[in-house]
Amino acid sequence: MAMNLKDAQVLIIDDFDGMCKMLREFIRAAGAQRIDTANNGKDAVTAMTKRKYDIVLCDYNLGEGKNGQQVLEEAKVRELIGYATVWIMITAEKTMDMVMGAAEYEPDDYLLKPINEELLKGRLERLISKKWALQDVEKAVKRKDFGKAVAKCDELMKLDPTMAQDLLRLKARFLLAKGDYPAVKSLYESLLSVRSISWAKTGLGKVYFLAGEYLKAKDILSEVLEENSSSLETYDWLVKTYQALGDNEQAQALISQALALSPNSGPRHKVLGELANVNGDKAMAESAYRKSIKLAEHSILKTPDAYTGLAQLCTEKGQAQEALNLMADVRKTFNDPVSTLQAAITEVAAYQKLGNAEQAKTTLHEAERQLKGLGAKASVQENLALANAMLSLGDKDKALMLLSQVAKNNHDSPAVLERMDKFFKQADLQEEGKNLVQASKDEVIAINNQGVVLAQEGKLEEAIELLRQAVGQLPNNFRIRLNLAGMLLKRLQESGKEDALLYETRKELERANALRPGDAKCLEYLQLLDRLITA
Amino acid sequence: MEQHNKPETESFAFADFLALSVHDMKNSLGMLIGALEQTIKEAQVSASPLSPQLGQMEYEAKRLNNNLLQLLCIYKISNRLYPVDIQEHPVRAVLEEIVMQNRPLLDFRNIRLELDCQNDSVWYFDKELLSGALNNALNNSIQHTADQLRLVAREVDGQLEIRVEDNGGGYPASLLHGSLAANKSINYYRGSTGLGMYFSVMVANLHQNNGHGGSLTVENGGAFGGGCFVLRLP
Repeated sequence: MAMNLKDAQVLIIDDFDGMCKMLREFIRAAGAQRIDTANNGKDAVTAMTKRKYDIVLCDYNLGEGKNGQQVLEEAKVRELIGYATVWIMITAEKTMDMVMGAAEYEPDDYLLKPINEELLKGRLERLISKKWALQDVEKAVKRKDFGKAVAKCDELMKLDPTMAQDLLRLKARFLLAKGDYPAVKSLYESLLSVRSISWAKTGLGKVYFLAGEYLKAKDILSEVLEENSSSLETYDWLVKTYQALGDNEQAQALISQALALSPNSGPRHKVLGELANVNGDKAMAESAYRKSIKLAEHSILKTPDAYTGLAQLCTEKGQAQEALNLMADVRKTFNDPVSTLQAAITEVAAYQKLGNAEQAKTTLHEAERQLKGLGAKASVQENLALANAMLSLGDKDKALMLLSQVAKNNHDSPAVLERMDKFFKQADLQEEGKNLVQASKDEVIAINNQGVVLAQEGKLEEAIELLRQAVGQLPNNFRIRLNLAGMLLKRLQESGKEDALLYETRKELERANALRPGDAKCLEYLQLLDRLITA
Repeated sequence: MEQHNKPETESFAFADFLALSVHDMKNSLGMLIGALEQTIKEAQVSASPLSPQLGQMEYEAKRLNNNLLQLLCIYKISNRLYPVDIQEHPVRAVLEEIVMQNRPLLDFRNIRLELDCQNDSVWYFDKELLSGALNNALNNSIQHTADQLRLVAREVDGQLEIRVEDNGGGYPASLLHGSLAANKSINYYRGSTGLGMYFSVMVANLHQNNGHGGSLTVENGGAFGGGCFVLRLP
């Protein structure tokens, strides 16, 4: 990156010409020479596709179209800016969105108006030197070598104690990315033993949530809210916690509070829509979904969820044609396999409501093909939604086959099995469902046991082969992958290092960790693998 | 009942409207201050004689900006809409930025400012609230000092003490005695409505740690024997 302002390529984004001009003067006086300006988000994105910028000064409020945050998100997602780019967001007043969390799409800094030349220059110099100091950390992150990133953070902390806060926050983020919950937990706890720090408390609440300790998560996150020092992240995790605890009313109340503090979040309006829908507040759900769609219109991070939620409400209300229009919009706007699958499933119900059985059937077949194509990438929710569509068209056998697959993939996940239980209850298939889940569980446990027995008898090769096949059939089953990795490790220990096996073991453990982040056994295996490699 | 409800809704809408307008006015003031500073700089470069009124204009514009910022913060804090965000910050860097914000005015008025703070000092506070309180104190002192200011930050008895000291005539006795927290009455001392003090006391109180709260005092003396604005944060 350019180390001084003289060589830096600068982009100024502001919808107000006078402000653009003033910022240009400031930054020119500070020494920069290569300065471009853009008056709206669209032009800014175009400028960034043509040129790599070292410094971006962006007003949050850009009038019509994208806001500053959405421009930043698009630049990051499309990799129009690199890590080395310094992004400063300019605002007129401090808002809730400015409270730094651990979010992925944060600017490097916020600057409050009024701004003058001295202030801008000082801030830029500080940010550039910070980027410089953190470059080794970032290189490690890019390689996904979080262990190295953590070590680098520790090194830097010793060199410059004034950076400790930023570094600790980064360190917690990396430990979380590694799935090392015990280490993140003790990091937060040691910080909190000295002083009540809201981001550390929020972080601890998040770890509790991820580890399934919902009551503890609820306590600590509520504490942050009571201390009146919360970030939007605190609200988001507490909403999730209440949802996990089954208290959807409280969750809805909280997300409404978060929206009162920061009204322009498309994703939060979507969550409100889902919660209001579950709580039977259909009018609120509809308005929330509509707001979500409108607010996310220019966002690169938008998802089809609000569209499908709204379409389902429309179908329920007898406005199936509007539902179909919305789904046509989804197919066109998103144009990816998961979205197409969701659209197809939603359309099945709409066609049925319109009495068009033929079209409903055709669309269901399309959804089945999409699901097959997606394989392990389809979520439990999508599987259940498709099974529901099958049932509604009277295709019970197919539905049960699909559900049995879901149960086998998640045979030891209480959360998923509970969801399935609810599903069967709603479909009035309680007895059949119970048997199906039990049979699926038994089958998977039998395979696992068979593998263990083979391994104990010294037939490690056979055991590995058995589990490899099982993984092929049940790609989303955490336990089978973990056991396979365990046997591969044993094999590596017994017969020495072999690149293909090392690679396979790492792949299995990474997949397992992605399916169930932070499992203690899985982390232990990963550490064992690291030791084997370096030994 | 209906008759009672109506004025209440209207006053609520008015408060919101006021908050929105304040936001808008701040944008305009930001432009005004920027333009003034540039004008002053250009005039300095070309060595053209400058009316001292320009400096007065900048001071007044900044005062307006500080007042609006304080009003907006007080409104938001009272309605639990302000994101109080107490974090660890490098103290010197934050103070340097506050000085930078006031640099053009200091230079124009030939006021010497000393910054006294350790390089490695870090403390917990809401940066924007602290900046609001200190900007207000500095702006006040710039108006009332003879020609010297001192911004000091150091740890005293487990608290961070930040002092703004000047070599002016000092605070009047009425402000020195009696609790600042209770001093909500309008008081035209130094051309002030008491808003700045009210805001600064609020900022001090919002900083809490393990049962200890922040505090604000004013005194006369310090390094220059003038007015001292003293903010302590736990």
